[in-house]
Amino acid sequence: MSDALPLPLLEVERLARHFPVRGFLNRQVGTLRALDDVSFSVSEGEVLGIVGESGCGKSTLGKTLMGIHDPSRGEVRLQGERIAAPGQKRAAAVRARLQYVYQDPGASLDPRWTLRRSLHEPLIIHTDWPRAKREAHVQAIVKSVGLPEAHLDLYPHEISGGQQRRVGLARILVLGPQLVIFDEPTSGLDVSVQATVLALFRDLRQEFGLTYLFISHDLAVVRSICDRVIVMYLGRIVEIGSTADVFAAPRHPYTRSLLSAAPRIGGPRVTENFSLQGEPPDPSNVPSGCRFRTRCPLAIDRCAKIDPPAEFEGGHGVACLRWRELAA
Amino acid sequence: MTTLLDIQKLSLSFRTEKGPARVLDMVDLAVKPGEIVGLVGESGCGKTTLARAILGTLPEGLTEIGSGHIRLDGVDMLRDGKAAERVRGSTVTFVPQDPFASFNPLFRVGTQIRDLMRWKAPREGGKRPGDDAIIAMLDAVQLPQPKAILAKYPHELSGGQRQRVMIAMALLPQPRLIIADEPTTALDVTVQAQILGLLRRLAVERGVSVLFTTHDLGAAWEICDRIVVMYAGQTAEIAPRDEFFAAPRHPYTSMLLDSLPEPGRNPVGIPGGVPSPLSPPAGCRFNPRCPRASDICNKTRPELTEGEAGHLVACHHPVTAKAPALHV
Repeated sequence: MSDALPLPLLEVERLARHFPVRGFLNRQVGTLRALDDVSFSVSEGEVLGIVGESGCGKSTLGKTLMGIHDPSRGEVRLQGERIAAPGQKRAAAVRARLQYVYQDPGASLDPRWTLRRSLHEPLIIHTDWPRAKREAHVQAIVKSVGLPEAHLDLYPHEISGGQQRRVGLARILVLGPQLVIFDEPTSGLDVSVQATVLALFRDLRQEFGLTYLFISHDLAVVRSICDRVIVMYLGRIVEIGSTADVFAAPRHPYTRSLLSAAPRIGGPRVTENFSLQGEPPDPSNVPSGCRFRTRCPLAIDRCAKIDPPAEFEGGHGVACLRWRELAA
Repeated sequence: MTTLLDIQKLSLSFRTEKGPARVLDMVDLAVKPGEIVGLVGESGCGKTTLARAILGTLPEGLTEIGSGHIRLDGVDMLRDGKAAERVRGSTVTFVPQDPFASFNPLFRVGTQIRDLMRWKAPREGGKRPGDDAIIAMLDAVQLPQPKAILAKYPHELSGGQRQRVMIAMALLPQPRLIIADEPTTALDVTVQAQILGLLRRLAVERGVSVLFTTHDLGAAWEICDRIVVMYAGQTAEIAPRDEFFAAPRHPYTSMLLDSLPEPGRNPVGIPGGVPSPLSPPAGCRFNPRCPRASDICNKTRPELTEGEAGHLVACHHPVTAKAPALHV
């Protein structure tokens, strides 16, 4: 992981994204710190999960990595090459290596284009391949996502929602990306469909040697598919570590509350002694010091003064002043 | 056995341009006083239609009742219009999925609660309860500073707070049954744990029955005493909570539980999709996707029969300990 010799695929260093809050006459009246001082790295071939509740900045993180948002501070490096920093324009070559999957990838197909045209489009933009070469490549990709080649002449409305999703994924894969960022890919799906979608993600990762960044609020899904996991709260990383470590022995009090809130079928009712009160505060007015302290059962005076830095032990990082007491 | 809500052999269809959509097919459901019943099923299974049929809020011109009856506290909700109107909103109340859409954005929360009280709350000594009762109830749903909440507009409350106000409004008329339609789907896990715990505690304390529709099996585990599973408009299985999760009898239920992501197991989905209510398969509606289906399944509709006490299943080839569920 972090101590491995080869260069990590993606490095994120002190990345921040702030949005101005505008008031009367478009005057800036505040700053929404959606993402603040976030650092981590992703090694090749791993599945890194990013979890947190709404408003924690996980989607902003994905979009900033992707180049949809410009970072306010910090930088992002892809295989050592700086791809995002304040004011930097993204090169087209980089865009092909990173791909972003929205909640429903099938919804991004043009209803008036045949699937063939939709799948050729990224190749026309990013390569100078002749038509025959593109066609052969598209057919191979379509086969690997489990669709018959005959479907290429159809329009999106002629195939089912599940097949549209597969075409959407095929469209992302034609460019041979290295890193795929999934943003809530399973929310809104029924469990029986979710299981088949997750299986497809797993197969594709194996076949194409992909690295995934998996943004989700569903802890059970993240636990089942990710190697490592990042827990975010109000624009900050509060905990990072291997999925097994984080789920078995969470160190941050927020991670503990989050895990204990998820229902466990067959276990005791968690709602009977769930202790975390309230909801996350407004991100345009974050508390001083540790951002979780207003809801934290362990908060002490020191938490309001010191913004806890991430402390690592055995590849498992946590940003809390009192985590050692908690672990004991 | 006295039942509060008694639904028997209810068939219901909607008129559409393409012919009748048979959304509910001979549904049976009973809720006893003080019981929390989970109505579980995937999208399109008819659970919301059933909830709305009980409330009598289905579009009048488009709905056709085929057979059966809904009796709530002795009142025939389908045929006795005047009595049903009296019961609706006082004996039976509703907690919606999206609380924001249920508030009028132009009026203060207090105004909207008082309006409800004017019409639906029971009189005590000839008078409707005043603000004191409202504030006491907002306090019971653990809203901080209830007085201040009354003066706020809906957009000034957070999602969790809005859902708490909705629960308070559902409890104020002192109902005997609350229908909660996916009340936590739009909320984060920590808020979901708070709301589910609150709903269960208040219902048990006050002896109110709850019919809780959800597609989230974890949430159903948290809150329910008994679970009813629907598939494509048919009741598939009815069982007490513990038995339902430990020993499901219907192949659909069993496959649904196996689709849940869990550590150390690749979830198995259910191949195929939910049939269209315009042309549902004959016999058991699950037969095209069922690995145990035989000839009888696409000819004869299985009756809901009781195996162990209180555990009913509608299947010709139920899952048993000797014949465990098969997966393809």
